Amino acid sequence: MKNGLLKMRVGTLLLAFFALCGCSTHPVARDATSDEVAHAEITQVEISYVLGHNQHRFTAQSAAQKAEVTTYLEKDIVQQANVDSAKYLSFVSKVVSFAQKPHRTPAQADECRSPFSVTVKIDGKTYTSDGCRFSDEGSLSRLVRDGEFLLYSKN
Amino acid sequence: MLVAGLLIWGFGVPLVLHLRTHHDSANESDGLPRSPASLVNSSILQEFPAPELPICHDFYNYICKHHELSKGDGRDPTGIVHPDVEGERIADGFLKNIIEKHPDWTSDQVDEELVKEVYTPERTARVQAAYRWVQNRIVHLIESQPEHVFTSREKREIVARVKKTELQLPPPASNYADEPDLFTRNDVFYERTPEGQMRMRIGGAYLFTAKSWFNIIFTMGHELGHSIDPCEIRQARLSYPAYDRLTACFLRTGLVQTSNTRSECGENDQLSETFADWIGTQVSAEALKTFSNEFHGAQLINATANSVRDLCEQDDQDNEPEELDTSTHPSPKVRIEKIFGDQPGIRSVLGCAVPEKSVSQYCSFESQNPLPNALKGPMGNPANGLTNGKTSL
Repeated sequence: MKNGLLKMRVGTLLLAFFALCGCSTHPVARDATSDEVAHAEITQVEISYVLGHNQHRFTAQSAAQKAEVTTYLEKDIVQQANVDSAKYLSFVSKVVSFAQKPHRTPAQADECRSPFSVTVKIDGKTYTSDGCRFSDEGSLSRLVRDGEFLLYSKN
Repeated sequence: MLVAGLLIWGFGVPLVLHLRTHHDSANESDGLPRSPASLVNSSILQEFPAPELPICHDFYNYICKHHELSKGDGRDPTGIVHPDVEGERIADGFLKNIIEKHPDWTSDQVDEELVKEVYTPERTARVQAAYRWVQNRIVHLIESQPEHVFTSREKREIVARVKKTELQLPPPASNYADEPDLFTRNDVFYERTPEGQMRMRIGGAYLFTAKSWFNIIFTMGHELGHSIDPCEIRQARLSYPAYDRLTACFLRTGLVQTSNTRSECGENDQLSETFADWIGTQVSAEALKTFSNEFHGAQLINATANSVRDLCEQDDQDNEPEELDTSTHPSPKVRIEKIFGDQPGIRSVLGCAVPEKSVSQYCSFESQNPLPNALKGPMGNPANGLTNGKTSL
């Protein structure tokens, strides 16, 4: 019990220390990103991934408060539409958050048959991430799915 | 004689196939494997050799460049193969309708409705039937190999992998909970999860793209072939001399391209895809042979073309052929012309000439390894890295 209390106190002190020195980056960074996204003049998202034998791409961009999404299968456009701006901003925040997380297997790994790459540009700032779809516990797939829901959201 | 020759030219396959029946009985007398075309050449139309079907001369160009889908009776009776992108647009259309009709639904509700509409019992039953058929044929292919190709233990190991691979299909949508975007994709693939589960998954769009039974068979054969491809076998820490011989043959005949940057089962390596095409081709040959009693002439040619039609480069919206990545896949020409079109069983079904030399040169588990003895390891297997690490062949 004493040990437990001691650990809690040490933990509280450490938390306070990290908060003061700004080392606890996750929540702070997330808020900052949301702000960045909300105030950005130009944003661009590109998610490309290999599935089976095909290269798929999901691109989205906004400028002058208009947002557009295009999906590709190889070079062919599958769908293209203007999308709801508010939902678009929320999606971009999700993509930034995804790009900041570490991924289990690098796209270049020999065993990776399904590499992906995610790039977000917010004004001049670029976030990129790559990995392997099948060892990513579905996070890339769910991100793409969110993008598809965005595509069909009413403008 | 001239009339008969013209008839063959004009109506092509029906007459050739008819002659094949005759040829089969002729074989019984002399025991020599000969194609219907060679029979025509040798015994009936000696003065006017029958022209072979155009597909026999150039599978790739016939299927990818010049071949138009036949109308009416000449069609593959099981259905056609649409461009990949069309299937994705159809599947996307279902998703769009559901979201527009039910804007208040959660993504889980949308997905559940989507799989109900896309993966209908009729569509999935077809895929399941094809999967079972292909699984049985691959098991048979392995089990029927002579003892000098695979030992009993090797057969058991390989067959176990084929049988262990599970076809996963929705509904429910939760079957693809970790890959919900697959519902609207055209892709079919084999994968081994980090936990070691071996499974095949079918993108919803594929159900709209491939109506042809023969395309489904080749696709399933290719993907299930991955469960036993040389790289998966190596990953499982297994090794078979017959695989080494087959790999050596792929390299020797250019079915697997070699380069300084190729790392076997790693970067810039086509080995696993070539093997999967090779397995898909063996299975397709069986399927076409089985159906050649029912289908005739142009139907059979179209069924054959449909088997591999989606391997062609597909033109984009500007009518430019797509640039394919050949770092892991052989080029469409190699896949269609060399791996598929040179397969003796496929050629025989169509009535194309099957020279004895081409039968012996076509890669198989029994292919001989022509490497000089100095380069061979114990038991005659290549010891110079053909199946391990980088190769500069």
